[in-house]
Amino acid sequence: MDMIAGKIKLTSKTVDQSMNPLDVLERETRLSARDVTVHYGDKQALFGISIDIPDRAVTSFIGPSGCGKSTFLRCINRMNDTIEGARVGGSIKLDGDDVYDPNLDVVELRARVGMVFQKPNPFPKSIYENVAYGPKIHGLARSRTDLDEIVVSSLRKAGLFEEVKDRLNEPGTSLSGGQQQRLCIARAIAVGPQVILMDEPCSALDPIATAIIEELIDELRENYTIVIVTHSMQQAARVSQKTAFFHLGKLIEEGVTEDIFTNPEHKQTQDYIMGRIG
Amino acid sequence: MPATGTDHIVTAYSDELIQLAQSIAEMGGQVELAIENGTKALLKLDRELADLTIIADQRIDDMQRNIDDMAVSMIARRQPMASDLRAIITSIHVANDLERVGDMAKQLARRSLKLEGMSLQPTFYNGVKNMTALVLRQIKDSLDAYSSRNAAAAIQVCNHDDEVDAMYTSLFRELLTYMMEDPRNITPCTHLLFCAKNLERIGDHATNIAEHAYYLQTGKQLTSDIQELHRTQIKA
Repeated sequence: MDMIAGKIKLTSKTVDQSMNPLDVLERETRLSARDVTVHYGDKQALFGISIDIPDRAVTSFIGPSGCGKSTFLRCINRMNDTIEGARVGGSIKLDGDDVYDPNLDVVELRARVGMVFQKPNPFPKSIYENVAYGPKIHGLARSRTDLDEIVVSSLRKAGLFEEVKDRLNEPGTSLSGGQQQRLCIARAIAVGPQVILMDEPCSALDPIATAIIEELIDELRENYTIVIVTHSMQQAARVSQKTAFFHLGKLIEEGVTEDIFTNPEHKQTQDYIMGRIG
Repeated sequence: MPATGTDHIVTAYSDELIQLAQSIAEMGGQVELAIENGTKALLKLDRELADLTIIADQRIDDMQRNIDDMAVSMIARRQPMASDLRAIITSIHVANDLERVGDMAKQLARRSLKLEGMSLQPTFYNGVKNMTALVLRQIKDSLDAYSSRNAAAAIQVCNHDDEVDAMYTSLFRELLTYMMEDPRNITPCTHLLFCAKNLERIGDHATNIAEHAYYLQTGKQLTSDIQELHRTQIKA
C-alpha cells in the first residue's frame, strides 16, 4: 500500500506542473502524416489519414478493434515493412524527414522512433543486456563506463532502477509484468529516441502496474513525443493531451483530449466514447 | 433521457440515465408546487397549507440527496463521457438549485405564519402575486429547457430574468410607499419585502438551471459573449 500512497503523492506533484490542456495546440509538430493509406494485399486498411503529432506531448489513438489505429501507429516507424503484401501510401514526416524515403536507414529510424508493445517482450538476456543491446549495436557507447551510464540513466528514466539495481545480471524475464514493460521502455529510451510509440502498453498489466506506467508516461512526455494506442478510453483521457478517434480505417476526429471526451464534434466519436450503439 | 438518439450498449446504464432525468423532473414538479403553495399560504394566511409546505421541503431535500447519490454512483461505476457526463454533472447542479428554491418556498410559508393577525390590505399583495406568477414561469421554462436540452429556450429564460429584477425593484418602491404612508404598515410590508427578495432569488436559480441546460446541450458555458444573450448580470 505504501507504493500506492507514494504514487498518489507523486501524481499530485506532477499535476501541479502539468501543462494546460490547450497548450498542446501550440506545441511544434514532431510528426506529420498526410493522406496515409495502407493496403494489405487487396484489402485497404487505412484511408487517407492526415494528422500532426505534437512534440513533447502524449497523443492517443482510440477506436474499436480493427479501426486501423495500430496499423497507423506501425506506419510511423515502418513496422508494416515487415508484413508481406502491405503497401503504404501518402507521406509521414519526422522533423521534415520523409519516413518512407527509400534512402532512409530504417534501423536508424527505429532508433529515433522507439516502440513498446502490448505484451512486454524483454530479450532472453540479463536486465543490463536488455538495455545495453540497443546502444551497443548503434555504437552509442565508446566505453564500458559510457554504456553503464546509459543503462543506469535509461532504467532511472523508466522508473525501474531502484527496483533492479541489485540484480542487473538477472534475466529480464524474471521481472514482474509491469517491471518487464518498464524494462522495454528503458530499452527504447536507451537509444535516445525522439518519439516513443506504445501499442496498448498496459493491456496485459494489473491496475497498479498500469498506474505506474501511466505516471511514467506523464513524466516521459517532458522529453519525448509519445503516441499511444489504447482500448481504454479512460486511459486515453488520463494520459494524453491530444486524442484521435479512428473508425473503419478513417480518422474521424482529432483534437485536445479534454474536448474529445467532454464535447466531441462527431456523432460517431460521441457514440463510441459514450458506449452507445452507433 | 431525450434528444440523444441512440441507446447505450449497456442497457442498465441507459436506464439509470432515464431514472436520473425522471428524478430531476419529479423534484422540479415538487418545487413548483412548493412555490405555489408557499405563496398561496402567504396570500391567504393559510396556516395549514403553510405547515404542509414546510413539511414538504424535507421531501425535496431527500430528493436532492437521492439525485446526488445516483450521480456519484454513476460516475464511479460507468465512467460517463461527453453528454452523459454533462447530464450527470448538471443534474447535481440542478438538484442543488432546486433544493435552494425549495428552501425559499419554505421561507414564504413561514413568513405567512408571522403575518397572521396583522392588518393587511389586499393591494399590498398584488405585486407579490404577480411576481410569483412570473418566477413560476421562469422555473417551469428553465426545467423544460433542461429536460428537452434546448439551448435556445435556455437563453430565453436568462433574458427574461431582467423582468423579474425589474418587478422586484418596482415592488420594493411600492412597499416603501405604503410604509411611508402609515408606520403601522412597516412590519407587514417588511415581511412582504423579504418575500419579494426570496422570489427574486428563485428567479436567479431559474437562470442557473437555464445555464446548466445550455451547458448540457452545447458543452459550452453560457457566458456574456453569447450573442443571443441580452442579460447583463451574468455571474462571473
